[in-house]
Amino acid sequence: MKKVRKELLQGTLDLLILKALSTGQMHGWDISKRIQVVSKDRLKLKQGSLYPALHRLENRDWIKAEWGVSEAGRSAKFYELTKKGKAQLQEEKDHWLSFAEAMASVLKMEES
Amino acid sequence: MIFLETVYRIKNWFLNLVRPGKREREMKVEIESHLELDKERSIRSGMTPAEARKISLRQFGHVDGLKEECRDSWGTRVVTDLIRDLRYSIRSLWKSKVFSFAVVTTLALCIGANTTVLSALYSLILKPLPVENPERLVQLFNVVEGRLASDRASKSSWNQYSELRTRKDLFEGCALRVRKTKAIRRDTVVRRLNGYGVSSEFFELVNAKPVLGRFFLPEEVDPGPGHVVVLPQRVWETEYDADPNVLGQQIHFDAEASYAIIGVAPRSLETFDYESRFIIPYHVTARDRNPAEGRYQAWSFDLWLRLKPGVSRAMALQQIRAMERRWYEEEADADARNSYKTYKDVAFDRPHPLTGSLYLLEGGSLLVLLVGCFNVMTLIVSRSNQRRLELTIRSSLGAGQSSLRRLMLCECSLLVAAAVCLGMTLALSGTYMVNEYLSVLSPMTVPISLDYATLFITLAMTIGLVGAMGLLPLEIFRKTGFLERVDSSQRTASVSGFSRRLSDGMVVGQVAIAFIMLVGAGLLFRSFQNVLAVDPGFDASQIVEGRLDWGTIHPRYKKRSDAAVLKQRVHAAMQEIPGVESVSLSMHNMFSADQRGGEFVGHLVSPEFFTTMNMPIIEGRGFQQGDTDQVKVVDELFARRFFPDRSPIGYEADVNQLLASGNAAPGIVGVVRRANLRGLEDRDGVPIVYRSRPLKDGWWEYSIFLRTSRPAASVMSDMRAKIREVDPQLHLSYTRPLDAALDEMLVSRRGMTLLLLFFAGLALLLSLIGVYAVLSYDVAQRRREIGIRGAIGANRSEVLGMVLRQGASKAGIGLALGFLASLYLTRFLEKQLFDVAAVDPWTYIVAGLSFATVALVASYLPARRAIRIDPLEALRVE
Repeated sequence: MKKVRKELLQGTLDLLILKALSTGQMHGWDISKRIQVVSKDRLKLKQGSLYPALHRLENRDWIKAEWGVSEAGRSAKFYELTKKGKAQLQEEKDHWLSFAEAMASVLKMEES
Repeated sequence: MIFLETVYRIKNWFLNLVRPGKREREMKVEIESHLELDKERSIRSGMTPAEARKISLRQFGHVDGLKEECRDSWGTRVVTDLIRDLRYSIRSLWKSKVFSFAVVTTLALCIGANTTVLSALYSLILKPLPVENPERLVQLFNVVEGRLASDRASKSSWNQYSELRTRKDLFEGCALRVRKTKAIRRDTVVRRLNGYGVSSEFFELVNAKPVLGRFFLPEEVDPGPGHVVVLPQRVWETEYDADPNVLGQQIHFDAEASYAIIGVAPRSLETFDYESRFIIPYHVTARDRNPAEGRYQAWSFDLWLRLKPGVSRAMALQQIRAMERRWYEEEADADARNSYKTYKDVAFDRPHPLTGSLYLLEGGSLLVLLVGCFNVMTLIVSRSNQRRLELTIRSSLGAGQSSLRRLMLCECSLLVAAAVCLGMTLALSGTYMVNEYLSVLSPMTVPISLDYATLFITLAMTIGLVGAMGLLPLEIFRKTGFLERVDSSQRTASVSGFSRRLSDGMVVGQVAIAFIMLVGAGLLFRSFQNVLAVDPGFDASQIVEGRLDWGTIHPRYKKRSDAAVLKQRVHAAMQEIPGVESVSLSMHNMFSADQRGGEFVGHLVSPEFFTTMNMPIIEGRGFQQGDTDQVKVVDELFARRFFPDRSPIGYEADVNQLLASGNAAPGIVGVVRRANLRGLEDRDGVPIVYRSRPLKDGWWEYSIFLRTSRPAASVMSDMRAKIREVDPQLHLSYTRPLDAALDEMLVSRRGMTLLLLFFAGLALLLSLIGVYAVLSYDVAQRRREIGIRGAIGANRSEVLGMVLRQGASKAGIGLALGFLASLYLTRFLEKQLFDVAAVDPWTYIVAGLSFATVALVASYLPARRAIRIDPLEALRVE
């Protein structure tokens, strides 16, 4: 089995959160589960480290939060993308993809 | 849009700041609900609740660390940290009240004194004139010999003005200004107003624009007479309620035509004469124009010149000198040539009479500041040494250099901020006091104020102080690396030789500077005593002076014979006042240093003058009724100076003829005791030649002296009443008791001496605290050593001697340095000294002894603490 490095590259957590939220409003626990599921458990993050990132994004106005009731009937803080956040997601996604593509092509060339 | 967003974010930030609790609670709930969700999930998959909780926590990570990270992301971290540091600092400063009090008081006194003196220096001397290109605007003075040191230059003449205004090659403009006094009468109350007359170019020369109306037209000044007046803005605002309809109103000056108000002059003109209440055109008189009298005698004009661009001061002065020379050689008659003898030079800018004192005070206050800073540093270093343990623990618990530095800076900022607030309050009251003095010392100057320049310097000084105070101890610790080691000797061992040498050095410096200041203040104090001890040479205690001015007499008594009649009537009326023992008149008023000086000055008096003044005749006779004005009585100083080995009686007191020797004219008939009519400090100044003026001669102005045993106040009001009886239109320009006037001449010296004594006392006190602090700290540090000494048999006197020797060596080195420095520095005081040598052994000895006593007391207290150390107690600490 391929070994995937478990620590996230710096700055990628923000992008992952933005991406996860692009499907709609959700709370912290949901986001962490979603990242785990979508990445097929290859990206393991300490669940807690999500929160500083969420607060940071909220402070930057990329996401906004409101209090609601979770499916289990507890009060929880639901996050969703703002207009600015959507634009940011698009920009970072493009940036990341083109970067990854460039990296991939360089690395493949060396192998051949 | 962006604006709204910014507002929103600032609001959020602010809410986070003021309500950290809400955010904190929300974060707690959010994390808790995450953990609960996770736990429920695990329970559903079959775990026990306890196990589930454990797993959730493990997956979540370090909860408190993450909370910290969240807080970081709120952006309020800087402020909350600052608040925490501040709270901590306040607590810790509050705990060491003595230390905080000492530091704040020391700094506040230093800041207060320095700001006050600096403001005075700046406002009175360094501040440029409020005109365009102030460096090109100069005032012309004539320098003569034989004046008091502070007043070696004199004003200019009308002839100089009329000649210089044609020199378009040197000057862009030329204007004159002359002080005027006018009276306004309402019933028996006469108000005297100061103001000045100007030539028409004046306003343009100093770039003044009218606040209202207009300034003088050339034809209103010359040929004149334009009865128009310009009000200074302050007068317009305070007395006319800034009424724009003031233009065209009339001012009725006593016994003169009324003047129409045509304009209001801006405040910038206050620099030239703060007291002025009116500005009128100056009309030239025949006397001004008379070249012989006018050129070298009637120096009453402020002559302002604006240099052309490219013309240097030196170049202009050279041209003016050449002009004077040419006039002397080509036009001067014998009389003028005689006056010219005392004439030495022309100069731009006369030093302000207070310049010397102010620079001296500035030096003094800077030295106090230096002592204060040394003192505060000593205190801070020894306090930081006491706090080593605390700092070490903080450091070992993970506080980095930067957070320690922030904490120290925070404490120092608090101390300095408190000191600055207190110091500024002191400075404000200081400037208030200076202004009270200033209205006596130098009434025409604008009151001083704290302005931007001084505030800026204070601010810079403050920042420097905070930095130095906060970072110095940490720097020492970093250098000695002690924060890295925590060992058992931590509590008792000295930090390092370095910090000890530093505090020792600072104590030595404090002592040296304080000694210098003590010597300086001592020398001034001795001078002041010597001035007070000078015999005025006449009995001022029961004499009242009243003055009748030319401006009062002349408009009503245009003929000399009328004036003579008036004088006789005044004299007779004065003698009618009950309780008056003797009345005499003198053309010159007393104590005016403004009179021109040469080898001697003349004093025109009525025959009874010596009787009224109680001046004994030493040789020959005094004046008699019927003496002509060729009869002269000289004072002792004149006799000593010009006739050292023979009697002056029978000689002519005209210096030219004196040098030629022998003249048949009646000449000198007597020698009178030296009277210091120009102030006590003029004792060795200019000799006085008295000439008799009989009452039948008319004078235009004179002082009336009454000797009486009645209280001065009632006699003065009687004098005024009598003058009104003689002529209701006349009034005295001032009345004063002579002893009060004599005392007033000492105001400047007294003020300077008191201030420097205060500064020296402050420096002495501070250096005492410094010696005490360093020795106390030393004794505390050496507890163990002293304990061991005691345990192995050192007796109390040995321990006492050990500590005292230490104090004595520091004070001794300081005194030696201070002594050497004083020998050099006191030469700058020489001008201010009176009858005291700059190297006055008594002053040095007294200063040295008082210092030795003080140093002994300062070291005795710690020494006593040292001998009370119980060896057992001290060693048990280990």
